[in-house]
Amino acid sequence: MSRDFNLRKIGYTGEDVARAYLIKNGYHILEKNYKVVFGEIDIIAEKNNCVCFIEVKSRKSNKYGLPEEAITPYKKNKIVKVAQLYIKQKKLEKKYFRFDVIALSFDHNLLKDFKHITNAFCE
Amino acid sequence: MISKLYSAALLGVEAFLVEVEVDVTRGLPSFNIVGLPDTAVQESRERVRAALKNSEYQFPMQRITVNLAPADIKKEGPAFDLPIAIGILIANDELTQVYDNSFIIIGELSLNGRIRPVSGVLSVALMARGKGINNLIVPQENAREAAIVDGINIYPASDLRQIVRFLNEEISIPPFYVNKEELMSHKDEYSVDFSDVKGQQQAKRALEVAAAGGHNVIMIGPPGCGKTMLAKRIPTILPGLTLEESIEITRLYSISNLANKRDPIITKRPFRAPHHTISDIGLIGGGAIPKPGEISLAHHGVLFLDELPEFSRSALESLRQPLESGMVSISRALRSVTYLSNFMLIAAANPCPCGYYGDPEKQCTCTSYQIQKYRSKISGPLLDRIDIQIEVPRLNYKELVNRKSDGEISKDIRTRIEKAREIQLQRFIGRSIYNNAQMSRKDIEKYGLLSNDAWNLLTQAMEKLKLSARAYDKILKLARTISDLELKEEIQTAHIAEAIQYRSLDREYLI
Repeated sequence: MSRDFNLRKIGYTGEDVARAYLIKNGYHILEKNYKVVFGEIDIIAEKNNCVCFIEVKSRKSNKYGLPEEAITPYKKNKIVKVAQLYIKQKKLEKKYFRFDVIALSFDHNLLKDFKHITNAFCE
Repeated sequence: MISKLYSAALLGVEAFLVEVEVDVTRGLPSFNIVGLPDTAVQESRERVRAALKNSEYQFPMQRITVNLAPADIKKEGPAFDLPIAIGILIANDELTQVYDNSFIIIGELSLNGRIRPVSGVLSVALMARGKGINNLIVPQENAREAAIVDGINIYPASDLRQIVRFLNEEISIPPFYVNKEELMSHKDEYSVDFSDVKGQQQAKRALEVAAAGGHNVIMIGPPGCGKTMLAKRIPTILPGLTLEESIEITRLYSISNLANKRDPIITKRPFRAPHHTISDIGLIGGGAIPKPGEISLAHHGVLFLDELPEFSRSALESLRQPLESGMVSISRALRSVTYLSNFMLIAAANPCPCGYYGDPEKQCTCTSYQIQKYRSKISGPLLDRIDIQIEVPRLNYKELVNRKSDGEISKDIRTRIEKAREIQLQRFIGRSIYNNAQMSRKDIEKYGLLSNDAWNLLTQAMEKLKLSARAYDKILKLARTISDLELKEEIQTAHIAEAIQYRSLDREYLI
């Protein structure tokens, strides 16, 4: 129970850090944890007429590989599907789009590494 | 925004025009190629993406669709990398000049934006001229090959940035030029010469006759007597290549990726000597997407089959049709193509498995059954297409060390052969026959004029040696060539006598 709680805590902390970073860099946060029945997108933000679908990945240590490595094709596919739905729902067809990844590594609850990968993948 | 430009793909030895359409629109970022691309074309997505980024261009994170038209022919190879990249740049407004579609662009991109050579550039250049598109952008390494085609401008491309600046008219690239006279002047240089072969005067004479009339030859003799050595020197006595012949050969080598990078134009007659374990597909060509085989790579040159009876039966039988028609049609599920294969067949064989049957000094150790089995491997119909059958005896030590037994040099022999070929070309002018070996029954009757003595000799030989009707034709063809070599209009007794000698297998002397 406590281990699971800790992992989630890392996850939420990561998303908080990511959001703070995006706001600081001039992004407008449209959604956080946008959830539909078949998937979820961590953050949807907009800057310069470009809507970014952002997956935040946090890791407690790099022992099992880098956080950005943990995004599988299956996960990518899910994000793309959710993004398509979001665009339809909000009627955003006239805008530009991008898929980003924000990867965070923690060491004993301290942020060790931060990466914002723009255009991380495409459909 | 949409952009359209021209590129080319290969279908056998011919190239065809491909329109590369690139559409960049808003939407979820994606990059798709449609129009029956194969794996190499699909992978060009990754090369184009990396090359654009590494050349400091923006790769649009938008919906990119590339269409290769006509969409019903399968496209293969990496040559579309460059047109796709340029298409994306045009759609992305990186090209400031209005692009006017007067170019055909081909080239493979490396990840850092450099342009790598592709195959079949000569075919593309010929197609461009045929379509009236006068400007061709090719990879730097292929420029020499393309420039042999007259009447179009060849622009060598070395990297993506350079070619974009060229299309933007910021820099100019001088069209690549090749001095054809200088190129074709190297055609006589061979590293071997007929005078290297000691003795074997008879065999040399037979090969001279063969080269003069385009006849196929089988040489039969014990191991180590010089059969291979003689065969290797045949290209040195064949008449020099014309520019047209050279282009035909180069196209075949270019699509097979065998052209020399520094010197891609083939100016010497090819000599191909495949090992006897070759498959029939390796010999005549084939594969899912048919590639030229050894017979096509020996086009206008010599195909040397050493140890003829050791070749697989199916490989040898597959030679029959190309030997007659000078081309081979290969049909597969994906496509069928025709490759030219007008070659001179030189075969070599031992008289028996141990190699010494009929040798005056060394004893043959084979049983008659073994010999019969060995010889039955060469079928009658194949042997039929071989006009000259000669024995090449073992050289004795005296001949080997005797300096006087050095023969003529190739150049002198070639001069005679060129004269004989000239007579033949005049004889068959306006027809698709180029030498005596291709004569039909009718031609033989028309051109095989015999003197009375020669006629008597032939009649005698036919009766005494019990020669077949086919052998009769072959003897007359050979006699025609021999008299052409001596610049005689009428076939003399000596010519007939020599021709009969070259049919040793008809006389059942050896086989």
